[in-house]
Amino acid sequence: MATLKTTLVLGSEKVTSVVDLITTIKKDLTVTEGGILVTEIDAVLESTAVSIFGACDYPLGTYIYLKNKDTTNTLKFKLSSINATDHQITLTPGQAAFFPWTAECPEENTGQNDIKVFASDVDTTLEYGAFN
Amino acid sequence: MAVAETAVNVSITLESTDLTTDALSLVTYIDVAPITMGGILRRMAYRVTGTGSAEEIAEETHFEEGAIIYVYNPGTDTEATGNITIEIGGQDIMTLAAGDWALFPWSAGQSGDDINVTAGTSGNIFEYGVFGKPA
Repeated sequence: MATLKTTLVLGSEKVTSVVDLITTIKKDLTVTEGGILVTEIDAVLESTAVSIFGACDYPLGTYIYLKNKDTTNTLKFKLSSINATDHQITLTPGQAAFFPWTAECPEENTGQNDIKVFASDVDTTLEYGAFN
Repeated sequence: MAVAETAVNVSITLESTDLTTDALSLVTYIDVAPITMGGILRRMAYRVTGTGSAEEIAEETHFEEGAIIYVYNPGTDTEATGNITIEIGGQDIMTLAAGDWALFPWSAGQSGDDINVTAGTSGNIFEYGVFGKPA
């Protein structure tokens, strides 16, 4: 067992008229597997998005980290099989996401619930990790 | 009347000294495009996961692509009954156990990609925020 310490800090000035907003959340996660990798994404069409996490390869509550390391291109992530032509997360250059993934493994697995990604241009650098 | 733009400053830190051979220490600062609307609310989720329709917390036609979504489960029940589940596009995507949080830039603006919430137990409290620009 190992510990992954996570911290989120979110702040904004003048978004409401009451007070400046600042929230900090810390949670220590007990994990046995995980790490961070970097890869290049060449797929540029939603229809050819590449799978980076298989829904049947990870347990419920696996923590997913995604970051667009590119300085120009956008990365788009498909998380849902319901709308085949949609994506749900958009990372512009420098943006990141972190969330506990449901990783719902369907009875007939055709990769429909995998996390898939495509980019606005070839050779877009993605940093990603999974912890569970 | 034009609304003044403001910013959201976000950082995510991941640290571990015993997961891999080399210590992991990552801090990422997220650049968020200027926003004009947003804030944080805390409320109860009444619909129970797996028993019917979920409650909408963000409507995809109301925001431009890239709106930042924040969700936090402040509960203390560590069983599945304490979970908060986020559904996007009609499918359960994220399961937040007690103390878990999620932050991601949302695609928005696409048919059927509303963000909805259900709970392990009706009445579980969750906190959420949407920061962006109106569509």
